[in-house]
Amino acid sequence: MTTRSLLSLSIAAAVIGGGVLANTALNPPVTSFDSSMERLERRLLPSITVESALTPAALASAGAPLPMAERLPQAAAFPLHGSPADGITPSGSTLRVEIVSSLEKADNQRASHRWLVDAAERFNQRGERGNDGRRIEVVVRPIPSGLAAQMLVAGGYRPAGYSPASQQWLELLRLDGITPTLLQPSLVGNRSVIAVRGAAWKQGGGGPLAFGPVMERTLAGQLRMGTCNPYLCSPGLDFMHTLLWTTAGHAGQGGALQAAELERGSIQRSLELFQQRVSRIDPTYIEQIEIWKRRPEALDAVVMAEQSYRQLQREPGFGDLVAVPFGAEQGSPLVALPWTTGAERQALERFGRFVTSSPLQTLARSQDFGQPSPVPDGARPPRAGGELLRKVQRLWKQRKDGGRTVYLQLLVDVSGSMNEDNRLSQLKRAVIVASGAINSGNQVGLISFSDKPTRLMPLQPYDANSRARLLATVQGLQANGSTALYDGLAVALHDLMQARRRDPNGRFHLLVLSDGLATKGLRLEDLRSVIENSDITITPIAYGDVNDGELRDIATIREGTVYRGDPKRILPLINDLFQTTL
Amino acid sequence: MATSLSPLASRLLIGGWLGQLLLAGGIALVAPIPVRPLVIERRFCSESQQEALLHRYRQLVLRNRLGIERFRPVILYSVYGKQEHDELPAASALGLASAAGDGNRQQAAQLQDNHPTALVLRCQQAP
Repeated sequence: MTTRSLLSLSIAAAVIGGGVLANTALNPPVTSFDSSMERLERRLLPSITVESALTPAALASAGAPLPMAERLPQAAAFPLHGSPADGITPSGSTLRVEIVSSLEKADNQRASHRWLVDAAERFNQRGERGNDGRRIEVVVRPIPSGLAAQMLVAGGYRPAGYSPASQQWLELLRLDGITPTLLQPSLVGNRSVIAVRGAAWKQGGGGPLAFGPVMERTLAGQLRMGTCNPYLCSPGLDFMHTLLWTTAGHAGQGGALQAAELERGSIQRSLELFQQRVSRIDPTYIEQIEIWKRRPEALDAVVMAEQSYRQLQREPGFGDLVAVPFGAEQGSPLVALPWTTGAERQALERFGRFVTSSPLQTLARSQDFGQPSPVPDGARPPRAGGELLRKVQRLWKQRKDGGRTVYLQLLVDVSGSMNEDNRLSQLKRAVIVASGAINSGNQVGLISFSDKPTRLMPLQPYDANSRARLLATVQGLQANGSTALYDGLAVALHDLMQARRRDPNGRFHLLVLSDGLATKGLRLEDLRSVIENSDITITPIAYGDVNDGELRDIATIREGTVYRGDPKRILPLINDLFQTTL
Repeated sequence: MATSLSPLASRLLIGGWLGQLLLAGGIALVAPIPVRPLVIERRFCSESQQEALLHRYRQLVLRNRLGIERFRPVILYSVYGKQEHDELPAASALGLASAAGDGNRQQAAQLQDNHPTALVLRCQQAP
């Protein structure tokens, strides 16, 4: 090699090295919350134009609460399965009997969760006729048990039969004045369990695996547990009841949990302590299973139905999963409702006998229902009445934040495409309705984005005034322009991170709703390390028929999950997320 | 004015002390250190109650170290279950800050029956 070549090489190396050094100096690596904040403030935010359009207090008076029936989705928003003529009104010679069923046995989109749909199809093929000579046709509409119960109570939706995931929802129906008639106490065997990673249990010292010790380890911060919203999720309600029953000292002594015990300071503060230690609360456990599958070390234990546990155990990397069964005997009942006609009831009785017959139970076992595991006495409270269950739900809602303030920043896409399919108008309705599910004292803010982000409502404690302001602001949203998604994300993250600096004990959530891909402004790569170190839980909603890849990437950075929404179902989705988060 | 002891009195006094020490040593050798079970109830307590309980526990740890008294087994119980240790765990391992729930009356009665001589530590009353 000549001297000249060596010299050229040295110069090139110096130039590259200098460039790298200069780049590092200008863009120091983001490895902590503070450096993340610094990157946002020094490098990213200066390139973003943020508008501010606060709703004047004088206008902030809209938003009288909607009646219950209007706050709930229409039944038509959920598909109907079981008949070749799904959705088509049957002729006069057919007696169509609709059953509203929980998702774990009627979700047509998942082969392992459609047992009741299979059963309806097989039953319909038999061509059975009712006493009046009409051909019986059973159709099944999958709606989460808790939501279905609310829809039945609200009126306007009157299916012939109801098959929730557990008896608890029937108790709550009774409390609300609807007396169901039990036709079958249990269509399939299922039960609530805590699925625990065997390796995590051993790492924490091993020992007998039971409900009490799992609670003890969770309280001690040795086990990262996920639970689901007891207003929506059967195992979540079962879990909260069993936890409170145990905490009140009944596990060793027997007896039922008493409403008066829930008033005791020691019980309420114990629940608060437990909620502080819980790693995740989601509307249902399906989200947690998704996160678990993506990153098995993200959680050590998740409350779920035993059927889901059996399916998960077969997934790669979950061979060491162990189940801790708990809760009262629940069954998966089939009931007729007060408005069910005599002919419909007879048809339901026939269908009930058909699905509990041996061939259909064999089919159920192939979808992992099977014989539920026995529950030891120490984890099996007596079945609770509706009044107590309602109190359990309310206590959870009051104490779920473990005494910490929750900060939620709503980041809403108002680009031009939000005008399509009533997307924006349905979103407005959803936020207005869901605002009733926010605990006072928590903080809520609203930022919209299209060509650029606009601060519409800064984070502020939630009370009657801020609710009125939120509702007026939401009603004033207008869609146009392009999609500067990441510019909006940067501003929303910054506001939440500033709040975190002020209140390090808070819980911080960013709900991002978008109906499209980013078309201008910052890119995900500009924000990735900032998101990673932000300590903010980001929940994206892919709204409408969109490619959710980009939103999925955002969620994955901080072990979140993407929800899919459309104008018909955005209301219950936002309501569920607000109720669970706020 | 200080009075000085005669050499004989001094010898008698020192001899007396030595005698007492030897006697105590002899008794310690002959009579073993008392051993009894220690039962600790873990329940939700206020911070001041936790502190009071920890203070009492540390005193027991000290007595154990000085050989005045030994505690075996050490049983921790709560509404969520029971753990047994052969030795006194570190105070931090009692996990009082993460203790929840009301007292487990059935467990308490059972432990009382099984270990009638046990020393029981518990918060006086949950708030």
